[in-house]
Amino acid sequence: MENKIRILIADDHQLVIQGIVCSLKEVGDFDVVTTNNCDDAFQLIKSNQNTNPFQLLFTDLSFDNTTEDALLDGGEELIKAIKNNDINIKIGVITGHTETNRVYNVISNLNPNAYLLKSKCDATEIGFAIQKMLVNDYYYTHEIHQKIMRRNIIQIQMDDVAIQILKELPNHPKIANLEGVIKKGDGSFLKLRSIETKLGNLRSDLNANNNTDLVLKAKELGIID
Amino acid sequence: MYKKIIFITLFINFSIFSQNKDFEKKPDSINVLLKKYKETNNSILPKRAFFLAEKTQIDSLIRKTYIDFGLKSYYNKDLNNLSLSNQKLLNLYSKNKDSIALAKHYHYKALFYRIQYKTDSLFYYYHKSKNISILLKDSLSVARRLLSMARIQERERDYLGSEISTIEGLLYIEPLNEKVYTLYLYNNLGLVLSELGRQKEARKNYLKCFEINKSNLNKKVKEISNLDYYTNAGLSYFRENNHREAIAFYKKGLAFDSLEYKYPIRYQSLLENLASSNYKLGKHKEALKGYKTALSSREKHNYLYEQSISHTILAGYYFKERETQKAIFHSKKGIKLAKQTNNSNRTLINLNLLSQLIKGEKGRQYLQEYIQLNDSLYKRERTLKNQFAKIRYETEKKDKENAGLKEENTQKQLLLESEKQQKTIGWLIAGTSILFIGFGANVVSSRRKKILFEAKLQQIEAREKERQQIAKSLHDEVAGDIRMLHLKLAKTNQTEEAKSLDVIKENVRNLSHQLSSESFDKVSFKDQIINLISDFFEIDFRIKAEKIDTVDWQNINNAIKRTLFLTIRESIQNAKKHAAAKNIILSFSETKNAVFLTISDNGKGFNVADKKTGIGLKNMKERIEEINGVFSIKSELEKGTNIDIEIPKHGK
Repeated sequence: MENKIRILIADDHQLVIQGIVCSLKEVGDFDVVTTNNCDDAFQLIKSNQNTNPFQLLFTDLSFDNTTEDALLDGGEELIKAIKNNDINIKIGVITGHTETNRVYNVISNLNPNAYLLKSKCDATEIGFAIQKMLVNDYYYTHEIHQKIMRRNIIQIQMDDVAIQILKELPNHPKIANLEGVIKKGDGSFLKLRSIETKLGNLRSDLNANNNTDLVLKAKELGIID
Repeated sequence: MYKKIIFITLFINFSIFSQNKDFEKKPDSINVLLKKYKETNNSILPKRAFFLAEKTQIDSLIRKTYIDFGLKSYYNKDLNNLSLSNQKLLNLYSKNKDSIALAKHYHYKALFYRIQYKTDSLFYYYHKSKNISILLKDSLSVARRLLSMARIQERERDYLGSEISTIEGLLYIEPLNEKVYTLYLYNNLGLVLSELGRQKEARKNYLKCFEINKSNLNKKVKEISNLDYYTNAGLSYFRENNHREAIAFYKKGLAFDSLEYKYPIRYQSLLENLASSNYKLGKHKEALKGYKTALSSREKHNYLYEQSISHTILAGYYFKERETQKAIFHSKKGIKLAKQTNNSNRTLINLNLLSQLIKGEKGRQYLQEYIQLNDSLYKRERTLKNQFAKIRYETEKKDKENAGLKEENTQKQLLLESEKQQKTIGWLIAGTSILFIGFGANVVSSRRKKILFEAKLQQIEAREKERQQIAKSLHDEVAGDIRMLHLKLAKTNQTEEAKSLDVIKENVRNLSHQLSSESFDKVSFKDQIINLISDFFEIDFRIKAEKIDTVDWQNINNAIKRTLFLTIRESIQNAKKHAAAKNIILSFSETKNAVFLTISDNGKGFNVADKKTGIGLKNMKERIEEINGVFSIKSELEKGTNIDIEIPKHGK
C-alpha cells in the first residue's frame, strides 16, 4: 500500500468521477481518493502532505456545486492555491472546457502537467498522461495541443523579430552570422544571445527538433513563405 | 462839435506791423519783386511774381505770394491787382479746397470795398472771412477781422454793434497771449465806451492797453499805443469836462521826443485836443494857436482828411468868436476837403455852420443841403446798423441752427452710441448667458451622456453575465445530460443515435463557447485576440493582427474590449463563411479619446447597399453604436471588405 501512487480526483459530477476511477483501474493499481469540491481537495492535499502525500491530482475546472462560502470556487483557484503553497504534486486537468482563452489561461499561467478533455478521454489517454506527469513531463490532449500550436504560430507571425530570424536562418550557415542582420523594432540590432534565446523559444513553440526542422515547420505552417 | 477831433489811426499801425513779417522763406526773386512793387507800384510786378510762384508748384508758396501781393496792392490802392490776387486766391481755394486761401479771399474782397468806401460790402466780407477763420480755428485772424468789423461799426456810429464785435474779438484773442491785437481791441473797446458816454469804463480799457503795452516788444507799436493812450484818456476826461486832467494827459503825449517828426498825425491830434481843452478852460488864444499849428502841420504833410477837421474846428471857433468872414472861409475849405475825403460828418457840420453864417437864399440852400445830407446820413446810418445787425443775426441764426443741428447730431450720436453700447452689453449678456447655458447644457448633456454610457456599459456587462450563465448552463447541464444519454446509448449499442447525439453535443458546446465570456479577467486583451485568431487560424485562412501593442488595453473599458472582441469574431466568421477570404488583417490604433480598428479581408465582398446583409452585420453595427462608436463598412465585389470602427473611450 505504501508504494501505491496516490491520486486525488476532484469533480463536481459523480458520474465523471466514476468514469475516471473506472479508467484508472484499467491503467494500474492506484490509491485513489475523490472529492466533489475544491476546498475539500485542497484540505486533503495539505493534510496528507507530510504523512501520506498525493503524487497526482486530476481536477475539473468549473464546479457547479460551489457555494457562496467556498474559498476555492474552481479548478483554477485550486491549482493556484497548490502552487502558492509550494506543494509537490503533479496536476492534470480533466475538463470539458475548450474555450481557447480559458485553456490558454490555464496552461500559460497555471502550467498543469496534463490537459485532458472529458469528451475525448479514455483509459489509454489517462495512462499516457499519468506516465508523462510522473516524470514531470507534459501531456496535452490532441485538440488542446493543436490550439496551443496554432496560438504559437499566430504569436510568431505577429513577432517581427521571429519572422526575420526564420527568414534569415537558411541564408546563414552559422547562427553567429545572424548578428547584425536581425533588427529590433527600434532599428537596433539584436545581440547573438537574444537570437539564440529566441530560436530556442521558437523551437519549443513549434515542436522543432533543430533549426532546420524549425524552418521546415514554419514553412509548413505558413508562418514564412 | 469837438467830439470828432480824435483820429483813429490804429489801422495804419497794424498795417505797418504786418509788413515786417513778409520776408520769410521765399525765393529771392519773388521777394525782390515784392519789394519793387511796394516801392514803385508797378502793376506788372504782381503778375510776374505769380508766374514765378506758380512755376514752383508749391501750393504754400503760391498762396503766400498771392496774399503778400494782395496786401501790397491794397496799400498801393492798386484795385486791379488786388482783384487779381483775390481771384487767384479763390481759384486756389476751388482747386485745393484750401480754406486759408478762401478766408484771405474774403478778407481782400473786404479790402477791395474798403478802398471804394462801400462799407456794407466791406463789413459783409470781413464777416465772411472771419467765419472761415473760425472754422479754421485761426483765432488770431478771427480777432483781427472782428477788430476791423468793430472799427467799421464804430466809424458808422453803430457803437453797440462795435462793442459786441470787440468783446467777441477779445474772447478769441485772449487765450493766445498775443499783445498787439489785444491792445487794439481794448483800445477800440475804450473808444466805443467813450462814445457811449461810459468814460470811466473807457479809461479802464485804455489803462489796460497801457499795461499790456509795457511788455510789448514792438517798439513802434509801443510808442504809438502810448501816444494813443494819452490822446484817448485825455479825450475821455475832456468828455467829462475834466479839462485839467485832459490837458495833463495831452501834455504827457506831447512831451514825447521828436513827436512831430516821428508821428505827425498823433502830434497833430494831441495838439488839437489840447487846444480844445484850453478853449473850454477859456484860454481862447492858446486854443487858436494850437488849432493853427495843427493845421499848418497837416498842410505840411498834405493830410487832406485831417485838414478838413482842422478847418471845421477853426470854422466853429471863429463862429463862436463871431468872426463871420474867417468862419465862412474855414467852413468852405472844410466842406470842400471833407467832401473830397468822403468825410460826411465834417461836411454836415460845415453845412450847418454855413447855413447859420450866411444869410438869405444861399444860407437856406446850405440849410436844405444840410437837412438832406443829415437825413441821408441818418438813413444810411440806420440802414447800415440794420445791415450789420442783419448780417450778424443771420449768421448767428445759422450758427445757432448749426449748433442746434450739431447738438442734435451729437445727441443723436450719443443716443446711437448708448444704444450701441446697450446693444453690445445686451449681446454680451446674451452671449455670456448663451455660453453659460451652453456650458451648463454641455455639462448636463455630457454628464447625461456619461451616465448613459456607463449605463450602457453596465448593460453590456449584465448581458455578458447572462451570456455566461446561459453558456454555463448549456455546458454543464445540457451537455452533461447529453453526455449521459450518449453513454446510455453507447451501452445499448444504438450507434446511429449516439452519433447524431454527438453532433448535437458538439453544437451545444460550440454555442456555449460562443456565449461564454471566455475568462476575460484572467487573460489580457491581446492574448484574447491572439486566442481568437488562433481559433480560426488555418494554413489557407490567415489572420494577422497589426499594431495591437500600440493600444494601452489595460486602460480601456471592458465593455469596449468586449465589443471589439465580438466584432472581430463576427468579422472573421463572416470573412470565412461568406466571403471565403484567405487573408484578414486587423489593424489597431489609439488616440487620446478613441480606439480605432480596421478589419480588412480579401474575400469576394458584397453589396453593402443590399438590405439582406444579414443579422450579424446589423448586430455588429448596433453593438458599436450602442457605445457611441462609429461603424463603417466598405466592400467591393471580388476585392474584399473593409470595416472601420471608431469607439470613443469615454462615451463621447
